[in-house]
Amino acid sequence: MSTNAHVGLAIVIFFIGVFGILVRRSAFFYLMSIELMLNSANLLWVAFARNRGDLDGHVYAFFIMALAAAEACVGLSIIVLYYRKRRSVVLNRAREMGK
Amino acid sequence: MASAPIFFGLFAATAVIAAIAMLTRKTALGAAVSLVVCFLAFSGLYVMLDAPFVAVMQVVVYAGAIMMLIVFVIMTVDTDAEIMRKERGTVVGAIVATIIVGVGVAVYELALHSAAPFAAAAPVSGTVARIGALLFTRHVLNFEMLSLLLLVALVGALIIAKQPKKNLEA
Repeated sequence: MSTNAHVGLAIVIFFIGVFGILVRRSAFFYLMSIELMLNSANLLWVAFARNRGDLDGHVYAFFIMALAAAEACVGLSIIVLYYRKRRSVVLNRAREMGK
Repeated sequence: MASAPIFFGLFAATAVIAAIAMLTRKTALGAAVSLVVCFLAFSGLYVMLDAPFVAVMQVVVYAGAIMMLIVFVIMTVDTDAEIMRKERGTVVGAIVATIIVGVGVAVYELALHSAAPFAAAAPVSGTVARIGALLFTRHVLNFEMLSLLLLVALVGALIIAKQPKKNLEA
């Protein structure tokens, strides 16, 4: 398939992720939407690596995966802390976290 | 590959439908399962893009490690009923999101859809040996920084999540 089709798919997936962050209020949905957006970026890296005929894009897709793992790790620990403090994972009053 | 468009359509449709299903699930656990399906479809796309290493990493790291971690925390912090009760007032969010999605689709239609296809070079298969050679020659500094980042994330997550009880008094 052409690179254009992959770019189109990546745009669709990315905006589904944006939609998720704007519509859902639960912290888990935030985190999963971010994972979705990182995935669409990954798809672009790999699609353009194929387009250019080199493998640097694959290496960067791998880096982004490790980055996503680190982000999920810290994000989930923040969710656990928020839950211990508020008994809730709904992010309506997250600005009170700093107090 | 003569059957490539069929499989691309199959995997792309699976990914999009699973992503939309993720948004519309009532419970976080159902959303996590939908997201795993979406990641597996992405893995199929990577195989078709001559990227077997990235495809395997997608299954192991994303569908395996990250989603397992998220599901684990969802089961620890089980507040699904409360989520749905409190999840109102997202009409403004839905409107803003629709506008943003519309802008995205418009950009795609204007800039890409009518454009000539990207000229493709001869594809190179991303096998483990080739990726490994790149990883430890040209990208070795990035690789080391990444290992440092993972270490910092590990320690940071421990420090954040293991607050003593007295620090949690609201």
